[in-house]
Amino acid sequence: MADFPSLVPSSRSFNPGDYPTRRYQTLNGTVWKRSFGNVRVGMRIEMQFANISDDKAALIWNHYRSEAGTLSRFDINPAFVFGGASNGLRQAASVDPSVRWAYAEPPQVESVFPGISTVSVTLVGEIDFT
Amino acid sequence: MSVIRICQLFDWQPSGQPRLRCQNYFAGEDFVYNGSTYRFCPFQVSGNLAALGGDSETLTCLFPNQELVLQLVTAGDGNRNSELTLTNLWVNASGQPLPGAFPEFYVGNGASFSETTVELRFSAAMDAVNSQIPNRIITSENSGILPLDSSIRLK
Repeated sequence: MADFPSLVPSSRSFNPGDYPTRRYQTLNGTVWKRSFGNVRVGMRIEMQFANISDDKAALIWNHYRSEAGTLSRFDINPAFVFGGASNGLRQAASVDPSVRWAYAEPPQVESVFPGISTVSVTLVGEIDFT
Repeated sequence: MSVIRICQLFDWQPSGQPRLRCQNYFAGEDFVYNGSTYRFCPFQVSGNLAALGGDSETLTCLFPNQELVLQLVTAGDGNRNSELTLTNLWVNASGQPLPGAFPEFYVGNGASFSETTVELRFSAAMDAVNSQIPNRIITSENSGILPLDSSIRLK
């Protein structure tokens, strides 16, 4: 599986996910929580690559095709996906080694000018246990 | 602290097949407990573990439709006559097991498949064992060639 293309997004939103937990609140308000795993999952990265050349947009689209759409999981290069962020923030956004990334949905490609496109991509972090 | 962390250890011996030991808490890791290594597998367990009436309630274990589990179930007589030792292990925040865990023993009672999951059913071996344990099935070995499109009446 090929890594996500080495492109730095023009804007990015990151949700760090959570540990798989079920919550039970008793009648007196006390909250009990049961943890079902030791790895944080469900992280989500929403990226927008604004006004990039169609060739770069094709890189993303071809990667989506090569990963069988939302089916396969792959790795990302934080130097690009989290490009522009400080090292501290990049470290804080790191995930467990058992977590890999997948497309949450097909990339949205908007043609804004001849040869220029804006691409929106959403990735989700999933445990890859196979 | 009102946080519960339970790692379930699944020690399963299908009939005539190699033993499968797995755990469902430490993602992507092998977990060693009492000298045995449990690999990670995201299964879930549900069902009644104890009943006052002694009726053998069904314990259901749901696995992803994974090749290994599918092979073991298929080759292991459909989870009949299998043995399961299920241990609910309480762990602390740093992943260390807490004392007090005890194993529970079950006997395989069948399996069913869907396109995404394999459901293994068990009954408690120390419970009121009825005629369903072990389950009997009609095969060509004990009843001869079976018709495909008509009903069978057993006496």
